[in-house]
Amino acid sequence: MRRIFTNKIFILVLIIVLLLALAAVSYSERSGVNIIGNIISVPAAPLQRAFSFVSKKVGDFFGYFEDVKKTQEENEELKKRISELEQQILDIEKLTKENRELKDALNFKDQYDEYEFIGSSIIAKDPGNWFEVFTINRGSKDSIQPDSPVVTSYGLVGRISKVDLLTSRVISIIDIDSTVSARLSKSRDLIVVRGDVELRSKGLCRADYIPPDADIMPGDTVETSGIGGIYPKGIVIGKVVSVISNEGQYDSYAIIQPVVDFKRLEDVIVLKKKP
Amino acid sequence: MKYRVFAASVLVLMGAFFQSSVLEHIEIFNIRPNLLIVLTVIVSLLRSPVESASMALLFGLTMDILMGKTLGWYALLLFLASIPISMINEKLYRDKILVLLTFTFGASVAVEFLFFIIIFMFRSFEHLSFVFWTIIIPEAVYNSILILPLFKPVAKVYNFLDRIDRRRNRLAA
Repeated sequence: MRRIFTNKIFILVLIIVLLLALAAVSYSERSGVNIIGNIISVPAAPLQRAFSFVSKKVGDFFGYFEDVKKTQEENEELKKRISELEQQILDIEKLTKENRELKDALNFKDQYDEYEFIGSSIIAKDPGNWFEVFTINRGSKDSIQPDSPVVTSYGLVGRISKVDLLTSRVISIIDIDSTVSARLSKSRDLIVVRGDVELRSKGLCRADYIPPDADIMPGDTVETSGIGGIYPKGIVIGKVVSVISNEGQYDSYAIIQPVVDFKRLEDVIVLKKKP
Repeated sequence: MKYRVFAASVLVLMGAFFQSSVLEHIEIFNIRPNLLIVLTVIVSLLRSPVESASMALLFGLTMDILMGKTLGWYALLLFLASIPISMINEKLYRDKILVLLTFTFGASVAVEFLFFIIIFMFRSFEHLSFVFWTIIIPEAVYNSILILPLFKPVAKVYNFLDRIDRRRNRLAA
């Protein structure tokens, strides 16, 4: 018996079997095995936070000189825009008042009322070239929970996939493992937005299961449908860039430009369900 | 032994930190090198099969943990890649640039190609050609370049640890 355990081939096969078992057990995002992620994430978090801070400051310093030139051009443009916007503000105020009155009349409940907003910073991006996941500086100590939606003021970023003690992993909507039930804002047709291995590097994603009679055109806005129970209804995902029509009934797909620029993303908001 | 465990832990943590933060800033065409594959090749070229395989296992698990997806795939692939390299490392001129480039390029292509096969096992392989030419090959080239400045410092650390071990053994004898 002892000879078997000292046999090198036996040990090799045993390790391979154990690793395959680990892969099988940890396949689910909610697997308890994933808690061993804390071994790396807890000591790495302060280092990642420090590096993220320093690299942001260095980037800001070099960006300053570039910005001065741009600022002069933008200043002229902005002056023109101010007068236009002042007029728009008056219109918006009027519309807001009308909207509030209508909501009150319909007893409409705000879709975000049941969520608490937790601001967080990105401290590390995906370490490899395969996925679009990133690490934020909030973890289970901040009561972050798996599958919580992650947004910015522009729109949808993704969802929490794993939670460690001090950090959490966010899977973005352009990741190949991401699927979001969505809706075309104009026509209300239901579609599915998912990540694509070829579009991912360009910061794009694709919309599948487009109904054959769907009214979809470049420029249309795509938002979450609320179906599936992860993302609340009405969060803007992006705009349709192009529609690729194929002969099959559900073979057509569209390329979506998310409203969030994943390359320059620094801060996000986690939507946590209120107890 | 304590020094070796400490040095191994530092190497793994530094690898994890650089891979997840610093290397993001030196991406070329949206591709970043895989420092943990490079470190696995370096250790496999320098050390015994048992030590190389153990370190490869740690590097792989670190990569799996950092990615936050299924645990074990990189650990398995790096573990398997380290064994043949470490078994023949004494027959090689390890300081030669061509040896470093060949083993890093070969190991990177093999590991990343198999990783692609695994993650796309239950999907279609329609993107195989795209992935091979735009992700796997550029990353392998990038890794091959990265090993050149890293090999000597890591080799020096291992030489230093060997010297400490020899001195302690002499004192014990």
